[in-house]
Amino acid sequence: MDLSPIACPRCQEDNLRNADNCKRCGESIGFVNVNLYSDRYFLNEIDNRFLNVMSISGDKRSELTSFEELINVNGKALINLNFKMLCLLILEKEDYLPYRMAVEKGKRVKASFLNDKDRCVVEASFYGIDGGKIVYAVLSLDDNGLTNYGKTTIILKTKTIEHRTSVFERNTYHLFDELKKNGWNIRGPIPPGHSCTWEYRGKLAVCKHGMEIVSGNSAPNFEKLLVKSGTDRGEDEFIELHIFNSLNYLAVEQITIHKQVDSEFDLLQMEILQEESKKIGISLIKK
Amino acid sequence: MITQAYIFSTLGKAVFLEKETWFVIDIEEPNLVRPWHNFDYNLLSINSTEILPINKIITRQQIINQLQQESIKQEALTLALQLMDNTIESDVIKNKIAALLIDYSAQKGVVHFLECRLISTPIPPSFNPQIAVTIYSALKHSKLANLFKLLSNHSDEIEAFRLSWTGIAKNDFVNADKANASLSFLVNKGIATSIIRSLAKKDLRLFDNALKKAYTALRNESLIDNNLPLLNLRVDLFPRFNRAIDNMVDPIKDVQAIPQQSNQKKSRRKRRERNKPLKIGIQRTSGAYHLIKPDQKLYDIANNIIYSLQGGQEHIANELILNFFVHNQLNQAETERAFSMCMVSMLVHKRGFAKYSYYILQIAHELSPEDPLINAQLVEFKRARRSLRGMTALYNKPLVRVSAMPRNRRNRNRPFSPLNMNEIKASAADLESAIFLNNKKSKQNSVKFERRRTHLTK
Repeated sequence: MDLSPIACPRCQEDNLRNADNCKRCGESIGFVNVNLYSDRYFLNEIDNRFLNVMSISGDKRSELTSFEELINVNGKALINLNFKMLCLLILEKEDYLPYRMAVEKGKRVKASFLNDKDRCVVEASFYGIDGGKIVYAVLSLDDNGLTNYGKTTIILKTKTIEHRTSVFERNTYHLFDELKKNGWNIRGPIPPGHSCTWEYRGKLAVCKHGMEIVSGNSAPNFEKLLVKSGTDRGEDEFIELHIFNSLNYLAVEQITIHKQVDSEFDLLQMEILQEESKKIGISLIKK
Repeated sequence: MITQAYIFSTLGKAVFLEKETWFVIDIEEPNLVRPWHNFDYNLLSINSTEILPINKIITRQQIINQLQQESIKQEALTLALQLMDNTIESDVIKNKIAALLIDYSAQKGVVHFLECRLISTPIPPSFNPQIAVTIYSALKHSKLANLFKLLSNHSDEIEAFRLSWTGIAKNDFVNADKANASLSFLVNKGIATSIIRSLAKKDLRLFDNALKKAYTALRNESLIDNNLPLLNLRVDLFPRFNRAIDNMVDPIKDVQAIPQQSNQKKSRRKRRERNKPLKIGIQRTSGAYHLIKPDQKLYDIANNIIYSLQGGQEHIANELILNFFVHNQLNQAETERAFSMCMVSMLVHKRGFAKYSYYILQIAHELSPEDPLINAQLVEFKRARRSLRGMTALYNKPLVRVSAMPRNRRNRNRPFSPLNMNEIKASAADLESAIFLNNKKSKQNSVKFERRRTHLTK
């Protein structure tokens, strides 16, 4: 299956969807992940799945509609970190960037001690060479996120990421295994219906959780439905966001601390963090 | 059994390989060890995550202990930087940071770690070490006050070192990884700090010693194959010692009248002796010179310098000379070093490159200012060129030493030749090497030196 070409916004020349720049005029075509998954091949299948789920009538249909609306209005991108990483990001203004990208740019030495083959295979099968330029986040309606990844959460400003984010139905590691098991040839694009762009996030969420909402007896808790933090990382269930390129403190809207720090050093860092976040306009919530 | 382990000191985590599985330890919950997950790669999303390898086979408890030690050091560094940070304006917070840093500094190795890190990295413009100096001076904590004072005073040298290293990293290393690893290694071992301190003190000897250490350490770690990076570092930073290569004294142009005192000394010597060509060797009792056979390597070095000078490539000659000093000489024992330096100088001089011969001697003198052979050679060189300006002290030095030495009875009035290595070694009380050299001459002389040693030890 070949994806449709993408037209250059400047000269209208057709380009491949994984191109960064127009082959004719050199104009930037946009973010590769968004260009890839904005192809109708992927979006049509989401539309079909969405229409199927929404084909019911009555209260459950309105619940699905409000779920979609809620996600489109309140859905945020979240990343969980440990407290020390948070301090590096906010206080030392470090970039949060994909590991492979950092290695390729010479900003970090390759961690030769760990087998990173799995990660490379999964990323490359979804994006080709651009797989190493992705930062992972989770779509959420609250500020908890996935606490298995760290006891602090940063909520990202939607404006800073919406144009460079692609959305996946679930954790791509697990999705990769599942699709492969179902006969996907990883040399081609992934089967449609599992991924989309930021604009389709509400529809994808309805496709994923529609049956649960429809079959449930009581009023659903949409927040808990969307992100399920398991006892370990393997059990987490969520909609995964792929943000192209790096992030920094300017993309952060809110910090939530889920677990009170206890060492003298961390308490002092917390004080500095409070002062600094106030200065740079990030709200800090301690739970 | 744990075969590999890495400490992520800035994140308070460690990973280790046990029975072919990677595990992660968190400093907050050291007893809760869990397997490495693919998603743990997120830990590497922040560039400044430091990864410290542990290659020795160790236990989990040792990893936890090391993780704790390294985390303390990193936390102390964070505090030191925050103390200087102008963007943290609250005095209350500053005082808390200062107090906590005092507690940290009491821990073993923390101050040394801070010194290694701080006195090697340029501080951003928004940082002001004077804030820390003021606080610790008021608190009368001299150790930390001095540390920040040092940082404040050495900022120029730190900048110069880093700037020079950036150029070297681009040109003289196989790849950026090796260059970065080398710099980190020099910083962590405190060698970068030693280089910066020698720059600040304008002490070329300290500088060369630091370069020697750097070369040995980097070579042992297989981070460099040759000394070119350090050689270029020396060439880059050499002008900071106010001894620019291009501005060096040219002995040919710099002809000066010989001072009166020196003239008197000279006049006692026969014209034949005065006009003797520069020689290095042992003078036999008969007066003939027995040249020590130098290593072929020395001839090669001298020839390479000469060829490049003949080809008009002075910059290559300069590099070769520096290469000779940094690579060959600093690794040698003092006695051999003096000999080979003088030998190369002499060979270059014989081929008519007096300026370079003199330059080699100059560096040799800087490296070993007390070595009588080099001093004597320098004086002889100047004497041959009728240029003894500033050399009187040096000229007198070996004479004074030799005058304290019993002379050979049979040859009591033999004129002193400062190039007689045996005499000079003996005068410098380096009897062991004198005996060694003397053994080559004759058994009789050997007995003489043995007697003298017995006399001296009595």
